[in-house]
Parts: sequence; structure tokens; C-alpha cells
Amino acid sequence: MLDSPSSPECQLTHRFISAVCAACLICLTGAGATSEITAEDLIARMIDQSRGLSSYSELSMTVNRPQWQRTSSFNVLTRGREDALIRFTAPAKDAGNATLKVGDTMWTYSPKIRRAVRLPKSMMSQEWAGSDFSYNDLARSDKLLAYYRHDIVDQTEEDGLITYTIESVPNENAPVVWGKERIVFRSDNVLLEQTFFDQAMQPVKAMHAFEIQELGGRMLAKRMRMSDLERPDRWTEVEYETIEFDVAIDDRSFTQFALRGE
Amino acid sequence: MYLVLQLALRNIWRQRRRNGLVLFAIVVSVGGVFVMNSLARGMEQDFLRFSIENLRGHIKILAPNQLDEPGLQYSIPIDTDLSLLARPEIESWTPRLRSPAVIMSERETRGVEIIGIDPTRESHSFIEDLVVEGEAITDTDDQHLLIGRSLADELKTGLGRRLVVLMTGPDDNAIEIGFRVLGIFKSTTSRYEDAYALTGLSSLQAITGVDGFTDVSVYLEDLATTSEVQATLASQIPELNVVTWEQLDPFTSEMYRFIGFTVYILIVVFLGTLVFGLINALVTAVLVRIREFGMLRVVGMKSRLVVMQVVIECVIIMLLALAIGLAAGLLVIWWIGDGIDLTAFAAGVEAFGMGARMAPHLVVDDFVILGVASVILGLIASYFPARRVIKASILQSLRDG
Repeated sequence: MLDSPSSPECQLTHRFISAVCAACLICLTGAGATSEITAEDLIARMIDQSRGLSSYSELSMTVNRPQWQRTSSFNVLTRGREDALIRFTAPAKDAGNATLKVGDTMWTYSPKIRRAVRLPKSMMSQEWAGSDFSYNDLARSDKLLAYYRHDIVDQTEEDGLITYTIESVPNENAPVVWGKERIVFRSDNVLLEQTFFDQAMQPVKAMHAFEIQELGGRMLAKRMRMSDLERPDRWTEVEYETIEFDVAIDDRSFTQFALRGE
Repeated sequence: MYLVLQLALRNIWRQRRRNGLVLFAIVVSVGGVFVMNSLARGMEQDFLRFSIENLRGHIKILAPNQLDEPGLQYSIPIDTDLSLLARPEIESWTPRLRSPAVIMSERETRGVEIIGIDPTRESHSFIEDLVVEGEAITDTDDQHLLIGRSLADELKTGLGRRLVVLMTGPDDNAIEIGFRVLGIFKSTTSRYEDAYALTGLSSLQAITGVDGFTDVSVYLEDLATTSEVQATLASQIPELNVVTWEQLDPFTSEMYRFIGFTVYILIVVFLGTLVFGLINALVTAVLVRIREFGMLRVVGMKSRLVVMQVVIECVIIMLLALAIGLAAGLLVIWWIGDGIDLTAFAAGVEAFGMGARMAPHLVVDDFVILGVASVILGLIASYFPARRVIKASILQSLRDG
């Protein structure tokens, strides 16, 4: 494992450097100005976490519905935040189904029809693979930085880690349907919770992180659950089986050939 | 002549029961045809109105390729000289910017057409008659969205909420923007409520970066001048696509023609039945009166006058029946009033291109045709039975009668 910005050793150096910089800044600007961390910085940090980072992970996903529950397995190859290739491996019925994301564009592939279909933007709010995640949740782009106003509404400290609660309200003409999003983010760069509110400020769906631990050399939530808050009993949980960072990635890993598994 | 008329009237009165029945039969059928006819005409008007007011207009000027590929890729530049539309046949015209779009709320996604309108010019489309809750579009710079009640319900959204609209821009680029819904409209049919999202023309131009319109709807003073004006405009602006509503909406246009034709079929069927009924009744009537006619001829009445007497009797009954029938029909139409409520079958009749009310519509021409044709047929129907009378010899008539 190479040093990534949040691996423990690196974080120390990183913090040290930040501290020095901050000190310099205070000296330069004279006196009084404390280095307040803003909500925007935190969001940028959250988004930047995976920039320039590649990973390979195997996950299992459990979709829960009032009548049934289903578990499937898939693996994910990522390069930065932009590119990802997701391929199902189990159950047999779904094996081979794949989703490719390059930048803002997504394709899906089904071995049954042997066709890769480019997802129109209009489909991005639909659910992905029958789960409670939408394609948008997977694509999670820079929207948060571009179209929202962020405020830290709460801040607690525990074991030297600060947990920030950020409320993000979209701007007037933002292409965002939510009334606001509430993001709970820990200072060791772990996203603990993200709740989506409708415009009447009622929570609609929420993602929670569980079992935060070191995985592949980074602090990560091993389990993440997206719940439909309006219809209890409907949730989807994704759990990391293995994750590896900074893997060598072939340039053709994020092409439509790769999507078809050729 | 006066004598013949007097005789005819007396004869009608003498055979009160028989003539009354004939009269009644004609009254019922004239009245029935009158009502059916005006309902069919009402339907025809409905088709026409729906087609025209559904953002089409009598004539539409479109950017080239717009028909093949609706959207923002092709537009009429904003500086196009439209002064040629100032013609006496043209009542008004309005430019619009339209694009297929996907509209999303927190919970649902729907496909609609987003339309930038110039509200001051929208005087002939359904937009004029909308019942708006909240804010209507009153200015081309209005930035909010006006959507239909049923779309709002489907999207589970409401006044003051934001919706995200996705469209394909002029350069095939994806445009994604949030709009605030400040107005919700109700219209006569749910198809408008489902299909359209309205906003100001200038503001939509600014958002999409399209410096122009996708189409211009032209409304005429008189429907009959459609193809003539279309031809003139097409030759004056060859770079744009000028089409009539019939070309844009062949289905409705065919339905429109079909109903026009049906009205005549109806009249022909009615007259056919009427004429056979009449001949039947008159032949009987005349045969019964063979002796009477023989007697008239014995006392010196000319055969021509005998025939005329029968014909006049028939025409009098016919005219009387027409008058009563039309009056009865008018009464029924007055009773129907705004139309027959078809709300229970709304979805079905809407799919067919009609409104939820079936309103009668009177066309004077049809009744002139109906009236004139009935009288002519009455003449013919009575002439032949009467001929039979004078063909027989007087002696035979007197003996057989």
C-alpha cells in the first residue's frame, strides 16, 4: 500500500504540515485569525478523498423489502472519483451484469441481451440494480460543491476525532431535487451519515455507515446502509468483503470492452 | 289555384289521423337528425379546436428538421423578419421555444415538453383558458414553472417546490436546471396537464442558449383560408418549414373530414327512410281516395290539378313537419345546453381527440340542405302516387273506388 492522504502515517505528516502552514498563515496575517475550518473545506475534503486513487474491492449487497430479502455479490474497480466498473458475480441470475461509469456518463451491460446501453441522464435518478441506491448515488459528482451552500450545524469531539454535522442546502436554480442534505463527516475523513430531505424538509432517504475500521490501510465504514425513510423495511446494505487501494489499472479497464467483460 | 290549396287543406284536415301520423313520423325523424347532426358538428368542432389550441395553430412555421427531430437543435433565429405575418387573414401569431424534457421531483420522474411562451401573444391556445393556482406566466422573463395539476400530483410536488428539468441543448449538450413551481394549472382535459410545463420565453432562451424559437403558431380569421395563406407564407420564407394543422395532425384532420362526411351520410339515410315511408303512406292514401279523385275529374277538374292537389297536400305536411321537427330539435339542443357530460368516459374520448363534453354545434348550411331536400323529396314522393290516379280512366276509378 502506497501512502494515501488518509493512511495513518500520512495523516500525521499531513496534519503536521497543515499545522505549520496554519501557523505561518497566522503569522503572516498578523494576529487573531484562528484557522476555522469551513463546511466547504470539509465537503471538498470528502470529495477529494478518492481523487487520484485507484481501488479494487469485493462487496456484497443485501436488498431488503417487506416481502423478501436478496443478497448479491459484485466487485468494483475504481480510478479516482471519475471512473468505475461494477460487475456482479452472484447470484448466477445476475452474474455478468455490469455498470460502467466514465466521468459523468454511465453504461449498463446485461449478458442476456449482450448489449451495452448508455444511460440517459433522465435515468440517473432511478434505482440501480433494484437497490435503494440511485445511479446518481453511484455517480456522486461535484454537485455538492457546485450547487450547495454548506453550514456546519453541529460539531462534537470524541477520542480526538471531531464529528461535523453539515447541512447542505441547494442554491435557487440548482439541478437538485432535495430540500437539503445533512452530512455527518468525521475528521478522519469518514462519511458517517448522509440524509436526503425533501423540500418540505422531511427526510426521504438516508445512508448510514457502520463498523468503521481500517480496511486496506484506510479508515472506512465496512457496512453502509441506504434506507428509504418513508417506507420502513426497505433498505439496501453494502458490505466490503475486501478492498485494496492503489492497484495497478490497465487503461482499457474503463472501456466498453471491459464493460462487456471481453 | 286557390281552390286547389283550399281543397288540399280541407283534405288534410279530413284525414286527421292518417296525416297526423305521417306528420308525427316526419317530426320525429327531422328532430332526431337535427340533434344528431348538431352533435356530430359539435364533435367536429371539438376535434378542430383541440387540434388548433393544442399549441398548433392553423398554420405553423417551423425551423427546418424540427418535425423530424423535435428539440433545441434546430431553431428559427430571433432576428428572422416576421413582419410578413401582418396580413389581414392572420388574426394573431405567437413564437414558442419547445423542447422535450425530463422533469424530476424528490420522488418521481416524468417526461414532459417544456415550453417557453410569450404570454401576451398566447390568445388562441389552451394556455389562455387555464385556471391557474399561484402565479401564471405573465412575462417572457418569468423564470418559474407553470405545470398541470395532474403532473404535479404525479410528481408529488406542489407550489413553491423545485423541480429539476433535463433537456438536450442546441449542441447536443445536456442541460440540467432547477425550476421553482410557482403556478399549477387546471385545464379542461388532463392531457394538457400531463404534457406541458410552461415558463417565460426569454428566460428559457437564456437557460438553453437558444437565440430564437422552435416554432411560430399562426391563427387565422377564417379556417377556409388555411391552405392559401400557407402557400403564400411558404413562398415568402422558403428557408423555413410552413405547414398547416392538417399536415401536422393528420389523424385529427382525417377525423374532421370523416365527421363532415358522416353528417351527409346521416342526411341521406334519413331522407331515404323518409321517402320510402312517405311513398308508402301516400300510395295507400291515394288508393283509398280513387273514387274521390274520379268524382273530381267527372265534375271537370283537370288531371294536372288533381295531381297538384295531392302534391300540395304532401308539401304542406312536409313543411309543417319540418317546422315542428326543427323546433323540437332546438328544444332538445337547448335542453342539452353545454353538452352531454362524458366525464365518465373522459379517458376514452380524450384518446379519441374529444373533450369531456359533447356540445352541439349548429351549422345553417346543413339545415338548408335538409329542408330543401325534404321538400323536393316530398314533391317526388307524392307525384308518382298521384300519377297513378289520373292514369286510370275516370269510369274505372268510379267503379273500383
